[in-house]
Amino acid sequence: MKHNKTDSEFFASLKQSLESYEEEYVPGAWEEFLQMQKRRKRSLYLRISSAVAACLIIGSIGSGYFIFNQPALLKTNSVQIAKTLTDTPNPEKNPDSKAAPSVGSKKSNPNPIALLRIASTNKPGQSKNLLSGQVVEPSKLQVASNDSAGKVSALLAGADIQKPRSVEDTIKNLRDTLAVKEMQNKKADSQTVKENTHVTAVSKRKIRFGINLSPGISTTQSARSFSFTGGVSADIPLFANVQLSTGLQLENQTIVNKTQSMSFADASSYIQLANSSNPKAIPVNQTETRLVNLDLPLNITWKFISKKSQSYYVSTGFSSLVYLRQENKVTSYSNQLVPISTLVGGLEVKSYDLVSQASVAQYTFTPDQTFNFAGRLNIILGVERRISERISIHLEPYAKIPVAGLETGSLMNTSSGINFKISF
Amino acid sequence: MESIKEENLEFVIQGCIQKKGKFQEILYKKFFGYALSVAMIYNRERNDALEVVNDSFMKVFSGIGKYDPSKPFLGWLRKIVINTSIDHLRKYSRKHLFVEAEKQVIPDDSPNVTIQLAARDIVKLLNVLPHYHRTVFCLYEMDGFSHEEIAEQLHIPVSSSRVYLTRAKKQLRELIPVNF
Repeated sequence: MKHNKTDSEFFASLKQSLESYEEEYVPGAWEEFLQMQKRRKRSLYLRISSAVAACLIIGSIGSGYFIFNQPALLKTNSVQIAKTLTDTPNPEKNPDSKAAPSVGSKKSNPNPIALLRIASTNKPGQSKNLLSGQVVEPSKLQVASNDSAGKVSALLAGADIQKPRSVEDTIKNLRDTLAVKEMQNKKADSQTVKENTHVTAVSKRKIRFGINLSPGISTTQSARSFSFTGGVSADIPLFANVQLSTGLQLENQTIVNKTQSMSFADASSYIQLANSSNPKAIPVNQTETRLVNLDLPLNITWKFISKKSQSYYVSTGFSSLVYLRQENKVTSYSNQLVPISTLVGGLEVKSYDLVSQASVAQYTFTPDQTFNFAGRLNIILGVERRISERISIHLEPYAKIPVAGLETGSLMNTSSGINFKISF
Repeated sequence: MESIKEENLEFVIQGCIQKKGKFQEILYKKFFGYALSVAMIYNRERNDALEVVNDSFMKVFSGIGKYDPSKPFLGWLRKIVINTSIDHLRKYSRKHLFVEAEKQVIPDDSPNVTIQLAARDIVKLLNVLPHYHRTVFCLYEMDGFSHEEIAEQLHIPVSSSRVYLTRAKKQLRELIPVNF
């Protein structure tokens, strides 16, 4: 009971002491606060802009893929039309053929030949309507479909049958247009076949593996330092020019953070220094973090120019990080004014000399692993040069932007550099 | 902290609500010392405490519109500083697993005010405690949190909170005769 009473008295006195305890205002703290606000705003803008950039890249990849695939679709359609036209029985070669295409069955895509037949059997006014895209009555279409192919041929050739001039001209124009289109399609087809042969050769191999090495720079808001990455990669083709890139990278980074020292042994030291002509004399505290981690990237790569020997691509995605080891070395400085007395003409003159005291603290982490899922946004531009049938070399300038604070201490370091890769 | 009249404080707070820099500066400078002293109780390193103070003031300036003028401003500020310290503790909890290899202690030459020295000595004593023990002790003894509230804030079981408090008290009792 007595013990409890002593205890409560003791802790009450502790509480009382702490309640009356108050620190003094640190000169320059407000200015530091304003700078911190600016830094955070900048960091926020950086995050927003990187997110917007990522969206733009992904959007452009998507739209680019869509746009570049559109002509292929059109090409396929025109090839089909041309095929239909060529498949139509030629009356000169096969006069007994009864396989005239039934127009009535294709309501949505009326056969042009059938339209020509109708145009030739109808009056000029009606044909104009048909050619200008007006709806054709099914009964008329049926009539047209039952016509023999020979009649059509004769009409097209402009033989004995008397035709109004307007219909004749229209038919002639259509014939010319179809002939030109057919020629173009044949050319396009041969081109597509050539391109496809190359693409098929490339996409035949399922996964491409690679080894890479990349020197880089790790940048914080206050300092830059050297970093080094190496590892293996795998590119999994998804579509003709789009692939999924992943791998395993080992990163060794040294991240340096510098902050202006706000620690002064006494207020007069600060005032003296702040009023001095050289404010840069205020030393900076430095935190040097040596970080070893594994990087597991998952990127989407789009080859926007793909040639036989060379291709250019852009890649974006996220990296997940596994931290293996971290060492922190903190060097902090404290300033103190040291009085120096000198005798001038028998009088003591006091002057002050500013002395910085450095203290170094080294923190070593236990190798406990922390996983940071999708902690970094990757933006990569790359060029691939094929040096043999199976081997290619890649040169990839990259930037890895942190999405959130990484590892202990919420490190916000952006890594950038050039990645050298050999893929096979 | 210099005393600030109630009406003046309201005026300053109104200025802060309107996001006027000059008023924010006045408020910051007036309450910096108080906020730092609270942060120093909850944080081992002075730099961490300064970071907590700055984070707290950012919260104060962004959320000052929600401040209820019928309640004391100091209480509101203290609550923000404590919550920020707890966030800081949760965020950097791994940092306190450090093994300190070498550290040079710089002598403290600040003015000799008896009560302040005593308080500083207590803060130094608290620094000896493991971080969670210290935080639980401060929350329970200084700020009147219940074990349930502490457990909720620190994301630990209620039983752990009780154990940490008992251990912190025991350690402090052992340390006092050694140091004083």
